[in-house]
Amino acid sequence: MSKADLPKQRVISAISRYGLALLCVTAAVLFTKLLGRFIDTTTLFFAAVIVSAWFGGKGPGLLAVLLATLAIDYYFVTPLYTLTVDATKALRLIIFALSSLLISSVSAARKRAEASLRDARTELETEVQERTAALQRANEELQAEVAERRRAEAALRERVNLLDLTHDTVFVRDMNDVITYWNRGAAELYGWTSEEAVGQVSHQLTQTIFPTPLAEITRELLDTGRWEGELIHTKRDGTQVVVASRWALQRDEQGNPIAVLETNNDITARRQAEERLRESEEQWRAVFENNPTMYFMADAAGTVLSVNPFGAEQLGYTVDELVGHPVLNVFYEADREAVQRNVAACLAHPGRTMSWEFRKVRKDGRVLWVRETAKALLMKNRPVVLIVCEDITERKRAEEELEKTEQRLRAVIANAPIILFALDRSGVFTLSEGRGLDALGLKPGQVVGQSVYDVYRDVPQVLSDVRRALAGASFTEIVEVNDLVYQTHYVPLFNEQGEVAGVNGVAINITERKRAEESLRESERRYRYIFETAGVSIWEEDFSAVQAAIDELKARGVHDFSQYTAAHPGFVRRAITMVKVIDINEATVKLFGAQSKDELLASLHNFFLPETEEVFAGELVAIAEGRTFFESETVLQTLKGDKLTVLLTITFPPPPARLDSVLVSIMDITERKRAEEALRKAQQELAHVARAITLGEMAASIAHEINQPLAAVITNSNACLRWLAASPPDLNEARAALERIIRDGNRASEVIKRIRALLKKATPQKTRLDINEVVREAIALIRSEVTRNQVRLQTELAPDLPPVSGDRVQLQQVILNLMMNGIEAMNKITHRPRQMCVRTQRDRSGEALVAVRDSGVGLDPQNMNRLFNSFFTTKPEGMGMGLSISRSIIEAHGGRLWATPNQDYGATFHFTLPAGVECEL
Amino acid sequence: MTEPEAIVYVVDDDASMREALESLIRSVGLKVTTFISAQDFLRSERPDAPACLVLDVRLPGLSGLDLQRELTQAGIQLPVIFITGHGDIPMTVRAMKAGAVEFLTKPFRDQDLLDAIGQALDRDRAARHQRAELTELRGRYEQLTPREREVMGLVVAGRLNKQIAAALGTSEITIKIHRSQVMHKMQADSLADLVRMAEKLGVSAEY
Repeated sequence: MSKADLPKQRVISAISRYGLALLCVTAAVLFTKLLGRFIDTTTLFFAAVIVSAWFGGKGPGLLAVLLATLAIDYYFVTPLYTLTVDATKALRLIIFALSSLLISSVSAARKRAEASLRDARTELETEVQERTAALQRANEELQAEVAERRRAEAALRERVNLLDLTHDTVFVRDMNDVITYWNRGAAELYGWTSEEAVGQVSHQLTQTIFPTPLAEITRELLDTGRWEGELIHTKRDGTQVVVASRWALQRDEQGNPIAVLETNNDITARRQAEERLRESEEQWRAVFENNPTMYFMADAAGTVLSVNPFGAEQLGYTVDELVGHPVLNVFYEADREAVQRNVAACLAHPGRTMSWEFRKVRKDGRVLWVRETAKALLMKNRPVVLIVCEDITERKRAEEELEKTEQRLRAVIANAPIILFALDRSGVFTLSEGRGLDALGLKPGQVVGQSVYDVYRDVPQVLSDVRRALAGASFTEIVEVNDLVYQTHYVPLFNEQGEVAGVNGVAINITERKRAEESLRESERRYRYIFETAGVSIWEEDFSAVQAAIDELKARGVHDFSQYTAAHPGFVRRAITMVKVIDINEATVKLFGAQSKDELLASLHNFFLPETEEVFAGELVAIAEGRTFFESETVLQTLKGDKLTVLLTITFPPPPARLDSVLVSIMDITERKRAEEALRKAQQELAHVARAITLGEMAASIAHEINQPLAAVITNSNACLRWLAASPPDLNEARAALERIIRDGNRASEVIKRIRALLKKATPQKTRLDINEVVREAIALIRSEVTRNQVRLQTELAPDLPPVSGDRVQLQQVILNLMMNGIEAMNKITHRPRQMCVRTQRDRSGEALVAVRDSGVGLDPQNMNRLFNSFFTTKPEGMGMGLSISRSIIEAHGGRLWATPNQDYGATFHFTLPAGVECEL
Repeated sequence: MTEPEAIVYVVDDDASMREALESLIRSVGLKVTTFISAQDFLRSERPDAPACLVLDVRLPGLSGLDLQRELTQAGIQLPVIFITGHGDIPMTVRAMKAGAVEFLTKPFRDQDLLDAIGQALDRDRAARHQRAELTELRGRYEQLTPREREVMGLVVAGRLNKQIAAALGTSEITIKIHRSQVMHKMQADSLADLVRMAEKLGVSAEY
């Protein structure tokens, strides 16, 4: 019975079963119709249901119940032949239906239980049969296996015995890595006997170092059944071995892994050999790549096979740019053909080392000279050329230089005004060169072959010098030949035995030099004479020690020597002792009251006064600043203790020359100074007189200037009395009047004070002055005079003037003088305004400028030159001192005083004063 | 009608002096105005009142004497008292000739100055009075007809009516009428009065 038939059969069975149910119900209908009178209507239907359920099962049973119920309703329950049911009959019908349902299900269940019981029995029987058969089979197999196992064991034992014979290391370990077998090879390699090894955990015993984690190895082993790799084991004696290990997995019949067979070959030696080889290769590679020598290898066709990085770099290429390209490319074009020839020759004689020098061209175009050493040899049966190449550019250049130098030297010798000569032992010339020969009328080489004793037989000194040199002496002599002076160096030549083999010599014509020296000496004599007889005291001093001290200070970071010398008077005094007097002239001896030079050639201290030290400090600053000239007035004392006012002039040689010969000239200006002093005193007197005269001229104005406040005082006093006398007295007015009296009294006193100051015979005193203030004070004095003469006075005083240093009275005198002159110049002017302007301003050089401008008669061009002369005047009663004194005052202040005619009419007098500069008055 | 308050003008370039003078003059109850220069004074507006000028001779720009001259030329009649720091005789003479009331040299006695001021103010008052009177007379004179002026000229010249009539070629009666018109218009009380008025007006007979 095939499986495909089953559904069909099931369908057929179902149809037959349901058909049975239909047939049974139909039969029940028919028979009940027929036998209706004899039997209860439901009995047969019950039977039909039971039959249907029994044989057909649950489904046909239910069908039968349904059909039966319908049939009864239709055929046998009134109203007949209709399915409608009245209530009374319905209950009967339902009872039937329920009863038949019960019957049907009981019948079907019974039937099913019976059927399943039958099935179970049948199954049991079948299983018993099968089990019996299997047992039989197993028994047979087991027996076969036992036999096989026995066979295998025998084979294994046989193999083990064979394994023991091999020198390979073989051992077996179970899946827990416990060694179960250990062959002789293993015992030999590792040092443990089989007895010792078996039972140990193999990796622990040999301290295995795995190339990859053991888990991975184990996985591979289980997957593929094999593993191969290198392991490092530690032997019993502690040494490590590298082994090539092969693992094979053994499985039982069921495929379960049971053991691992491990075969290990000691490859330590091989490893070491490989390591050595690698190291050696690395070493050679390093040598090849890093050696500062260029290596090339080319094949027979001239293609670069390899080049070391240094070689490539020297040519400015990378290795890749050269390999595979013709080696000729890097050669200088003109040399290529020769290179080709040489390489061909090299290839023609393999094993012979050849070398050559050629030019190579760098990638950047620069040309290198190289020396190449090449050897051809067979490499893998192919001829190759090995080339070692070294850069000899420098050497080449040096050679060229040398050649040039030699040429130059030859040219020099040929053209130098010297004579080079060589004599053999017998005095015969072997060499005679140099342009110096011209002077003697000889040509180079002319006397070669002749004896010096013949050539210079008339110059006995030459002959004696030659003899001396041939006797072995090396010396220099000066000899005169034909009115020419020669400085001749003789150097004897010795042979290997130490005997004199000849003489080399150089003769230099020093005739000119001799003459120059002579004239120099003459000049020196002349200057010496001047030095000695000069009227000025001249000292030659050595300042080297001072210079050294200054240099040392500079090295220590001192820059401002003015400040340093001011702060360190000790250094200045020390420096004085460092100066050495080398020489002095007669004038010095006389000036300083000495008996002889020697008295003065001692320390400078004898002549220095405290004031002199300050000037000396100035000298030090001059040296420190590298100045070459120093001049100052100072005071020195003579040996007798007299004070000398001198003008000191020092000329230092320009740096970096040493200051070992410094000329100091000292001019006695004591008399001049005295005269100057007297002149200054006289001028002061005169200035005072002039002031007095000026004041005299201004007397009327001054009187007015005093009278004015006095009149006010009196008037105020009267007013005051009247305010007091009033009834009631007006005290406020009286007080105001009294206050004015005080003010005016002071004003009068102020005027008198100013006049007194002008008349005071004080020596000038320098103070810092605001020139505007000086101008204002002068104007205050002269205001009355201005008004009296109907002059309109204007002032333009610049606010930003620099303070000046000077004497207040003297400057006021100048201003008064210029203003008085201006007022007088306008005296006769009636047809135009009499205008005067006093202006101060800062001039272009930053000095204070004062200008007094008038609109007077102006300046006569003829008198312009004499304007400032003493005793020149255009005024009938003038003394002619005003402008002269004014100018000397201004000049003593370091300023200038001059006059210019105005463009329209009148004149302007100007003077300048330097800003704040200390000046001698 | 009361007279306006008198003013003393002071011109001096010296501040101290100006202040002292102002105080002194004020102390006697006079009104003072001070000026720093002649120009300032000339530029100033002066009220119509009796006044005098205390003037410093030496002034910057226009001097005191110049100012005096200018005033005279401009017809301003103002009594001037000169003060000076250093007066000399020629200067004094010149000033006095030009009509100065006084010439004082600094320092001066206060009373001298105040006296001079008093005198000058009196003089100015009188002058003002005269000027006022003359103005009045002129006004009256203006009212006369030309014929009446002719008649008045001949009357004050001492002519008799008959003579006047003859001179003017008219009747004596007519002259009489004219004459009484003149006396009336000129508010003259008597012939003598008329003569004085004529003198002041500078009227005289044309013939």
